[in-house]
Amino acid sequence: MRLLLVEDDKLLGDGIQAGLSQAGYAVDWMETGKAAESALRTEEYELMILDLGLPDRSGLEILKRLRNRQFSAQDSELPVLILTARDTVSDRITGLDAGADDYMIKPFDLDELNARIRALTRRHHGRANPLIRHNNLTLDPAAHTVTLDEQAVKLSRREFAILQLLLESRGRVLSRRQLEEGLYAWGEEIESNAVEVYIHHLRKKLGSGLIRTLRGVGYIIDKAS
Amino acid sequence: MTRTARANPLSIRRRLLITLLSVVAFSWLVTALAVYLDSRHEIEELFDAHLAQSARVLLAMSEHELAEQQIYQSMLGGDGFTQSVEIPYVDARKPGHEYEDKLAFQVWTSDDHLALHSANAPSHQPLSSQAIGFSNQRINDNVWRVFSLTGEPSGIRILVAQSLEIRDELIGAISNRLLTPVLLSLPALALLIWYGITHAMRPLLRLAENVRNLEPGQLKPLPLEDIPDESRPLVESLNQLFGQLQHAFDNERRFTADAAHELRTPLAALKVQAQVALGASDDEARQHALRHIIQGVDRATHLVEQLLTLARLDPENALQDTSPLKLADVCQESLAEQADMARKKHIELALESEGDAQITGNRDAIHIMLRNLIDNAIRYTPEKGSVCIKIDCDEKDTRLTVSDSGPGIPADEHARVMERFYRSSTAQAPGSGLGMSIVQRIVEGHGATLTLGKSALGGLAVSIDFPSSQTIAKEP
Repeated sequence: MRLLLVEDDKLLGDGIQAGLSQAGYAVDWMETGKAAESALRTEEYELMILDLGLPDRSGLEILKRLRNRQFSAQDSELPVLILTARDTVSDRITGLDAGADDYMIKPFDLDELNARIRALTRRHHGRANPLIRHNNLTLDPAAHTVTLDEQAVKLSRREFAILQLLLESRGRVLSRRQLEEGLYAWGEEIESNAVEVYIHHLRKKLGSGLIRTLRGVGYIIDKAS
Repeated sequence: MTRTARANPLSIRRRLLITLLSVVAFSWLVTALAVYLDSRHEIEELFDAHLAQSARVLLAMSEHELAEQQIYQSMLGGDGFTQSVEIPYVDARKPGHEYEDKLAFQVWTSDDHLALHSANAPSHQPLSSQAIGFSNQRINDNVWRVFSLTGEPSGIRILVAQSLEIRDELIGAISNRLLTPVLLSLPALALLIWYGITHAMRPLLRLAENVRNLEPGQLKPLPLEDIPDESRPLVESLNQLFGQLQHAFDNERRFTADAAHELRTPLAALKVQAQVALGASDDEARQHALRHIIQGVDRATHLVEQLLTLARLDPENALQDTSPLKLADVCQESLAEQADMARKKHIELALESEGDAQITGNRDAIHIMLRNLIDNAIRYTPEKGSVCIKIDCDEKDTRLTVSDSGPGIPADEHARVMERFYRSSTAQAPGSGLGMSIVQRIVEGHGATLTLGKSALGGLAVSIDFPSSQTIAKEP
């Protein structure tokens, strides 16, 4: 899943990027408002983590533009989690009223940030249940575990990410590029055929009937039967 | 002795009451004493005159009586008064006066025969040995005022005496009447004074109540209505003080809030990096995170140090200890300290000093100021750039300029750079955002002015103008 992180503090930005990558997210980290806006114009994200105190413009400004559909490439409903050092109630109200979905005050816990990201994406996909169930398959995004017929299946970080992406958009075809974008952040080296390799591993572990290939188009997990 | 007991005499009300009562009582007593002395004198004059008058009437009557008796005696062949005649005490049935027994008289013939006397007068000896005039005599434990008069040529001697008790009683009565109202009215007067003072003090008490109701966080000016003229300057001074305090409080509150926010980001970075290190699956990622933790601690330390420096530079407690300084020396010292950092970035440092510029200032503070300016210049100047300190001085003033070949600061941000925690949008290097606030505070503390501009090297030029008096002034 690809996230946009907008944070001007180098140490914090680096830490969040590393921490969220550990959790299997592809994180694009922008240090200025300008860079963040151009990223929003060109890439599609699942969620944005936004620091309000940016050197060149206020994070709220970017948020308002997003909600006003000023970034064509972007779903204007993109879940936004605000990160800030300002902790007064009025600050929080301003942030939430400007269209933020959640609000975290520095310093925060990385695990809590992860949990909130999971909750926000879940809600965005219209799910309330933290577990994704598909026939005899269960995926737990929080625990990073997958079970098939109540039996735990060991998946690598990337295999898990691809499975989650396909399950989140069941009934919809995802192209190889879309899957790659969900796996790799900007600047990360994409191994050729990586997606094919991960799909191959997933079929071996979960059975060949789960993921269908539409030649020349992409991959799909059909809606539950 | 308890505190309250000692504090009570200090109450203005008590002081006023005691003072006013004492003054009133004292002046009353002085008046009463004067009236007493005057009355006593007048009473003595009056009684003496009365005594003399009685003596003369008695003499005239006695001479007349004697002449008649002598005629009668010569007819009978006798020799005048042969026996003394006693006038008895006034009988209760007869009309008289209680004071009558305080009056006595004797009538002596020329041959020392006591012809007539009052019952309370001695019958064998004269009331006074004095032939004529007033005298005081002690008879039977009483002091009597005696007037003697001798008739010419009859030789009849009249002695009229009056007990001094009468006078004392009378004077006592007058004194009583003078003093009683004073003594009776003093408590009433005290009550009236107390009430008056309390009434007059009411605005002060109300003022005290208003002050008591003030909260340290919310120092509103006190209302000036109903404030007596005497306490108006006090209230005005208080209001002025409250204004300054409120300003200081607001500043402090804003600063604390800002400082807390500024500390939050490095703390957040530390926590996140620590959690990343814990969760890292490979050594390289863990090393990376740990190195970042160390960087984060360094940065937080720098921020805390800058905060402490700023706190120490509070106008109240810093910059007191000043001495004449050679600006070039302090600059050299500061540049030497930062030479290492400059060498790492291949930045050329230069000091251009004209003349022998001397200012009066706090050496440590000037040093901190220069360190921050040079540090900023090196920090924001890209590699292989240059940083230059220039000191110009003429008779009028001394100007210190730190210029660099960095990106500079846009003119519209110049004012905001001085704000605490403000970081320029062009800032490419980490910093606390406090350096320029520290510099500004030191500059103000020395009565100097700071201007930002574009340097000849292409970057920022920070100029500090020290006032002329400081250039010339030498500490005694």
